[in-house]
Formats: sequence, C-alpha cells, structure tokens
Amino acid sequence: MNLDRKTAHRIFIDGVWINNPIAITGLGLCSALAVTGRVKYALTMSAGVMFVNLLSSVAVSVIRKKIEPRVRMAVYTLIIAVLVICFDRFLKAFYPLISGELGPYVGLIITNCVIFGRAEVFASKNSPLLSAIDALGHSTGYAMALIFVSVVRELFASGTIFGYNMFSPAFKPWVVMEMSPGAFLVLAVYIWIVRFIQNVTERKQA
Amino acid sequence: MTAEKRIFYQLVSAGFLCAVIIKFVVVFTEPYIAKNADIAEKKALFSLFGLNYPDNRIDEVFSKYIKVIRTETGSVYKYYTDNTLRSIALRIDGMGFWGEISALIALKPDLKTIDGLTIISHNETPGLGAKITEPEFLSKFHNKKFLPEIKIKKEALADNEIDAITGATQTSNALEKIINDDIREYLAQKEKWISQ
Amino acid sequence: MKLWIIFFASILTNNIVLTYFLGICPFLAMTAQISTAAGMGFAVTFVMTMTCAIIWPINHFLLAPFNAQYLQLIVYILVIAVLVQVVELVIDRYYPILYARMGVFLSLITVNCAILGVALFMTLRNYGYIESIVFSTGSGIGWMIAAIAMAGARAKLRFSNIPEPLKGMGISLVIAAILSMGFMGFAGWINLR
Repeated sequence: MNLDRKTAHRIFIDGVWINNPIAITGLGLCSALAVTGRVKYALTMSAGVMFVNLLSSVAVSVIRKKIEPRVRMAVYTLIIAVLVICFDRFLKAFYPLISGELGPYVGLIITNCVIFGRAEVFASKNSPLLSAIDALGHSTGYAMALIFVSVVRELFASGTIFGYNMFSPAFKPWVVMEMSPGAFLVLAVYIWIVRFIQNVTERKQA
Repeated sequence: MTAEKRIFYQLVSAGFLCAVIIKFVVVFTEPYIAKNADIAEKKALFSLFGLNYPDNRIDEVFSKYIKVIRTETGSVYKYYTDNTLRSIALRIDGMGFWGEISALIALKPDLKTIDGLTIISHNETPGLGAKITEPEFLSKFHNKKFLPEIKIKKEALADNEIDAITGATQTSNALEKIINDDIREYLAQKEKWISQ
Repeated sequence: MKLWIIFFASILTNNIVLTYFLGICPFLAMTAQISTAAGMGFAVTFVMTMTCAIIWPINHFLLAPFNAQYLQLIVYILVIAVLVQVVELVIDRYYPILYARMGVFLSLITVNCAILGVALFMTLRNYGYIESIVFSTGSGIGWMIAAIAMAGARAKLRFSNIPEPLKGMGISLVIAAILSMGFMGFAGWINLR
C-alpha cells in the first residue's frame, strides 16, 4: 500500500478546511449549537464525533466491496449506532457528570450528518487508510468549529475557559451567550470568518 | 446465492454482530454506572451536610459519619459527629414540570427547620427551571420552617415561604409539591427512623 | 390542564429548534420560501407524532420489561427509518397529489435529529402515552411556527445588501438568534395556579 504524502495531505486539508463541515457544508449544526456552552462539553462531543467517524469510516471502507447496495444505508446506520452506544456508555461509566450535562445530545451523534455523509460519500469508495484520514480531517474541522464557538461562549458567559477564570471577579457575565441566541450568533460569526478567509461566494455552494 | 438471500444474510449477521458488541459493552460498563449513581448521591449528601472529603475515601467518610435508614418512601440519612445528631437528610423524588426531580432535603434535629436542599437530578428547562440547582435558589431554604407545609411563591414573606424562580412557575410548583408530599410521608412513619 | 401546558410550552418556551437546537439543518435549508417551510413543518409534525406514538409502546412493553434500555438508540433510529419509508409508500399510493408536493421532504426527515431528539426527550422525561403524543405534536408545531417565521424574515431580506460570506447559512443563523430571543419573551406567561 503506497500512500502518497500529498494525497493524504490533500484529503486531510479538504476535511479540515476546504470542506469544513460546519462553516462550508453546513452539516452537524445541531450539536455545534447545543453543546458549545462550555469548552469541556465541546471537547467531549468532538472526541465522540471523531471516535465514531473514524471507526465507522474504516468499518464501512473495509466492507465496501461486499455490501449489497440496497442494504448499505441500514448497515451504515447500524455501525454508527453501535459506536455511539459504546461512546455513550463509556461516558456514563467514567465521566458521569459530563454525560449528565450532555444528556440526549450524545445519542444524537447518530444523526450527525458529518459521520453519515463521510461514510456514504467517501468511505464507501475508498481504501480504509484514506477513509481514516478523511474521517480525521472532517472531525478535526468539526472540532475546530466547536472549540471556537465554545471558547467565545464560555468566556463571555462565565468568564472562564475550561473552568479556568480569565477575568477578574468584577466581570459581569454576558448571560445571553450561554443561551440560544448567543449560540446562533457566535456560530454565524464563525461561519462569516471562515467563509471570508476562504473567499467563498454563495454561488459556489452546491 | 441470489441477491435477496445475500441481503438477508448480511442484515442478519450485521444485526447479530451489533447485538453482541453492544451486550459486551453494556455488561462491561454496568458496574461503573451503578457506582456513579451511588457516588453522586453520597457527594450530594456531603455537600448538604458541609462535610469535606478526599475523593478516594468517599465510602470511608460516609460510613464514619452517616447512618442510613431505608423506609418505604426513600432513604433517611442521619449525620452524626461526636455522637450527636447534627442533621437528618431525606431523599425526595417526584415529577417535576418536564421530568423527574431527585433531591435531598436536610432537616435540623428539632424536626421543625430546614437545614438545606440540594438537587441530585432533574430535567427542567435550561435557563429557567434548571435554576433550581443554583446556590442562589437553594440557599433560600436555609432556616425556613416546613410545617405545616412549605410554599414556593412570588412574594415570600412568612417563615415557611420561599421565593419562586421568575419564569419557572411550573417547576417551582412541582418542586413545592414534591417536598411537601414526601416530607409528609416521612413524618407519617416517623417512629421507624426517628430513634435509631 | 397539564397537557395544555406541555403543548404550549413545547411550542413557545421550550421550542424544539430555538431552545433545544434540534432540526437545524432543514430549518436553515428549507426555509427559503414560506410554502416550503410550511410543507416541511407539516411533514415534521406528522412524522414526529407518529414516531412517538409507535416508539412509546415499544419502549414500555418491549425494552423496559427486559431491562434493555441501552438498545433504545438503535431501536429508535431503525423504527424512524422504517416508519418514514412506510409513510412515503402509503402517501405515494393513496394520495399521489400530496406526495408530489411534499414527498421529497419525507426522505430528508429520517436523518433529521429533531425526530430522534423528541423520542429521546420523551423517554428521558418519562412521559405517559397521551403526554408523549401531546409533546411530540407540540414540538412539531413549534418547529413549523419557527420555520415559517424564519421563511418570512428571509423573504424580507431577499433584496438586502448582505455581506457575501454571511449569505445563506450565516444570515439565517442571525435571524434564528433574534427569533429565539423573541421566543424567550414567552418565559413568564405560564402563570396558572
């Protein structure tokens, strides 16, 4: 198996930046808004998505030649669901506080379009190694978006990042940042920034 | 083998494999999850009683200071230091506005005053009903009387009244009902746990 | 009485898309026109209610007695996928005109996190059967109202000078932010004793 460094690099960058899941393709938004109240939760969710994405893409890629076309959707769903259940149980067992806060949103990773999309679009047509790189790229891009939004939200809503105080005690919390309007706004800003840097125009979108 | 048969076998084997993996993971994590619920309740008790504890000796500290009496309504936790009863905590559960609320209410040994309240779990609206877990709300219960019943309402003036949360009337009402109902039940079986 | 409260609260104060962020993808994608938004809203409400109507008995009579709650995720998503297929077939067969207008929405609904989300919330909150139906219908209607409001706002902005990087998804999110602030204003309304 000869892996061209350039190919690997290209696939990875495509996932992280050029087709950044949230800013460019607009997939996986539900969790980007729901769990970004604190950096801790955003990181946990990113880890979960990366775990499920990586393993599901590799699994789909390994069996891609043997799967009957008509059952592939069902099989993808099964694979992703099993992985999500594993991650959910893992959190409940070893990080119960975080699991309690994230609640049903961990289960909703199943419907995360990023994971399903990569399986259908890439992993079903490429080798396991390339699929793994693709999955890592996209989930890193996803993590980037979540970290940006959660850092801004947590910083302004409670003056902390990952629980560490950034401002003096005189800081007055900007409460709306912790609630829905703040989430929508910060995400809009993130998309604005990424699209501005990449010079994306609406016409370029599919 | 026809395509239909292949589809069938693939689905069945995929389903079977998934079931096996899930079963394995569930069985492996089950003891940890059960322990976590237990630890959460113990930690809530410690914070309610104002007990400091090192993270790795929770069970030790628990058995040293707290005595558990199980009743039909739930568990009664009595907190002793130097052989004197300091506080009695009652486990209360009930239906909140959106989902189950589990809490612990601490009473002073005279059984007339509330020592404190802490919420173990709930499913209320973030930003509104969820405020019942905040110290600003919970601290209002300190030193309030609970007989004949507590009232969580808008302008709390009397000894047994507590300020409700703005915009969370339903959650406040539900919490009030849970506390009153459960305390009444515990007091009805007082002999079972009062003197042990 | 409690049922009415659950119903109106799911639409206003606990709106499924503006408070819980479920169903965002179609909320941003399918709201370019009010008619599209309304059509999607009907489809979402319909599928949501049917899904909960079927999942509740499955959870209570199949999973709970066998202590198999950990299977909830897989069972729910499979039920949703199958149900949407069946609904599509039925509508296509018996109401072809309706299918021509709204059939495309149905396929998109399967991966709609709102459906799975509502099922999970209903389970988490331990609702009874009637409460689940009321909750899911209310959530669907709440989604529809928010979607129609979003479509209306976007229609008004069609000829505005929006910066290029913000067009489409970006500005929709800003509209959503303002909408959700508006809905937050309903917070104090439930004041019944």
